[in-house]
Amino acid sequence: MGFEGILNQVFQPYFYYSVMFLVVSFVGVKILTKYCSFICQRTKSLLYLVPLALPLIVMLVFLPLTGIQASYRQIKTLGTVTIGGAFSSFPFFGPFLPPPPTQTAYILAVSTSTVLSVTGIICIIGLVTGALFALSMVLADDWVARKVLHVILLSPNEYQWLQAKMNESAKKLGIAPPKIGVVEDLRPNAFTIGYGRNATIVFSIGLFNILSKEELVAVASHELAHIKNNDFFFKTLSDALTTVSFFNPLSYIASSTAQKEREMFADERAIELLEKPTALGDALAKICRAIQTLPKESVLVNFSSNLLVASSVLHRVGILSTHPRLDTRLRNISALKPSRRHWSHRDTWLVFFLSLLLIASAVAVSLAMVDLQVNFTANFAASHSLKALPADLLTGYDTGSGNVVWFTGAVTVPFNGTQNMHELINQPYLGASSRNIYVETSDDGAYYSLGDRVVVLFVVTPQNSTYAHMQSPIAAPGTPWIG
Amino acid sequence: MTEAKKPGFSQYNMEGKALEAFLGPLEANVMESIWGSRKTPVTVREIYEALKKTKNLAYTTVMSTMDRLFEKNLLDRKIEKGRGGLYYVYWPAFEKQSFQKSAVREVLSSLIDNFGEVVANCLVDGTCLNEDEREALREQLNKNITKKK
Repeated sequence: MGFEGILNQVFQPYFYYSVMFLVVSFVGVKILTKYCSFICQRTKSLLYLVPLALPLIVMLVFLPLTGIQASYRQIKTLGTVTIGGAFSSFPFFGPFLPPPPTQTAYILAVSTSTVLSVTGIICIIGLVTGALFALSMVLADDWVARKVLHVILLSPNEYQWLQAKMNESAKKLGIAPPKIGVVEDLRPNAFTIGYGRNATIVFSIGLFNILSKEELVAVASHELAHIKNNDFFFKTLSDALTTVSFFNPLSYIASSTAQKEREMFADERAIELLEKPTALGDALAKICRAIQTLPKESVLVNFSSNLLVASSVLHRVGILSTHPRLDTRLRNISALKPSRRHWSHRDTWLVFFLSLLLIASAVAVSLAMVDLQVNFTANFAASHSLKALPADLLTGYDTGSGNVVWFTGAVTVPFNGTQNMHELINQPYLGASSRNIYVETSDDGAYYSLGDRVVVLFVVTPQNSTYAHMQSPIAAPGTPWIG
Repeated sequence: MTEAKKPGFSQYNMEGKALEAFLGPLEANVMESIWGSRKTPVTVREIYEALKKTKNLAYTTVMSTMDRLFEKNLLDRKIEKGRGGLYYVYWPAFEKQSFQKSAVREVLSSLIDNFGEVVANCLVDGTCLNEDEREALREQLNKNITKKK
């Protein structure tokens, strides 16, 4: 695949718009959350999901759109057209091209030319994998986590004081008391698996070794807050949406940013349950200190743990971390004010309207961009005093590349019957290409023999646009047009 | 397995059967389970799951028992990296026969230290020898006990 082929793939609608929308909306949300200090952690975490959701929306919009467009741009036979002032009749698909496909075949061709491109297939893989991931997390996460992480459920007479405290806190939060488990891991860690009534809060043995009772209760409250906040579903959704855009590095950053906000939100809720709110900060500081002295776990263990558990006190370091930096977290805990703690109706409306705005913008821009090529063609033709044909009048199907071509104009070229078609199209018209116009000729360009002349159909398209693959020569200004 | 170490136990239970004479019931069970295990070293979870089949036990009880056995020098342990993170793996510090021999010697040594000739007489009385042979043995034992003292 040459440079042009790579550009073609990059600018396939599925791929291009899914990447662009994620980038633009992520930057937008980042700026919004940075400068609007009144937005609470919960709102922030939800807003960060919007950039992740946009690629999914783009894919869901483009998939039917390609089919709808194909139906709209029906194959038509030109019938009678004016050529140089005289009327002449010729079929749309001339003698040099195969007969036109049926309408169904055409719709299929239009759809597959984008869906089954390399980048289109990558997007579909992301979509399917994301859906399967979400499904497996909801259906089998609990079972897999227990099997992989070897969680042992505590009996009612083990750590009775902790179980009593947790039951009390669960009651305060209005959730069912979770099951409690332990893992043999010597690294201090706590995490939650499952959701709702089936949730299990798991402590590592390492955690019992380093924390005081008060600190253990604080960590337990943090995990209870995750259950109350439905973070299992949040993480599953966030990870599934990241999987949809697995080819976009920014999706991982957006996902980790969303989950960091969620951690802060759980911290906020946890300290409401604590008699001594500083215990959570003390516990986090102890955990961070202890981790530094222990050998690091393998990447595979780290990855699988992060994948399986809804929340883990242990975390990856850096930009892809699902947890905020300790100092940020401690600052957040100590700076909590009652007014910031609660989710209000204002937040609900804010998330609703901002999400709606971003999604509507994405859909609108998607639709607008699809027609940009057509408008560009019309503008170009107008600015060059050329007369372009209606965009939906002439449609072609390039059997060589499998691409669908919407021809927007036609020009007649003298032809003596012996010339090489490739040279014939290239020589007189290639010089007309300019920086902002993508011009390429090929042997299978669309042309129709009219005895001593051929009619060449062409497309004017922005350079490197998503429709750059539509190949056709461009006519020089002043060349006679069909219209 | 190092023989230089001495197993640490401070009591002898007259009513205990087999290993339970030297160790607590759960300690004895854990040791038997580890000695009988096909896989060494073992984790607390593996022993817990093995014992759970016959007894209603808590994981933390097994964990603290194994920790105690480590402190008594009956088990050795090290930290290992694995699928579940970092965890202790344990293995017996002594073979079963070696432990039994060492334990019996400890008890006998204590008895001899405290009761000397009485122990020799008891041991001789418990044999199936004739009177002359017993007398010879008693003399020999008393000589050795005196020498030891």
